[in-house]
Amino acid sequence: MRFGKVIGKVVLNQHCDQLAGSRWLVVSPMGKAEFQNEDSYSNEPSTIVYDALGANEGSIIGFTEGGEATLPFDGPMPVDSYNAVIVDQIQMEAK
Amino acid sequence: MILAKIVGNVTSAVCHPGIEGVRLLLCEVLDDAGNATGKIIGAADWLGAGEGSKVLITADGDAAQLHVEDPNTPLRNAVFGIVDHVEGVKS
Repeated sequence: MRFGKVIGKVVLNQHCDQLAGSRWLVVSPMGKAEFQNEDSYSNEPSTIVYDALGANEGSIIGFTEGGEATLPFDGPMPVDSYNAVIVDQIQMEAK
Repeated sequence: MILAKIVGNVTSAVCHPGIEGVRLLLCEVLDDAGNATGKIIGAADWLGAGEGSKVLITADGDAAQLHVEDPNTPLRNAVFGIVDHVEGVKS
């Protein structure tokens, strides 16, 4: 599971039928530096994450990528990253 | 498996039901020499690994599904071993 800061949203106007009503977040991935410094953003490319938990901009989420991202769905889904956790508290060593 | 060091943990109120109550650790991936790479992986932990300890993390969902009650849980990384020490690697 990778963590990231939600920095935006993607709205589709055309999509395959399984994605009806889907919600997509633009997420900037977080490394250790971003965990320790709130307003620093990593230069890794942002990724788009399917969201069923209702996260919005500014929240930190934990998302699952790869085949396991389709597990929460009943049928086959064209999704490869799924918002599994909206992070409440982060406890991390100081240095 | 991924060699990593536990540097913290996260708590969450809003998450997938399968992950509720599961201990989520922040693990920093280590390179061959055991130095931190700055890359953070969130891993579920059922072994009770303490902060600062080195652990082995699986990256395969099927392995993580062994411990998970809800088979629909979107989980890939789980702590499967606590490392005692690493031998024979040039540091």
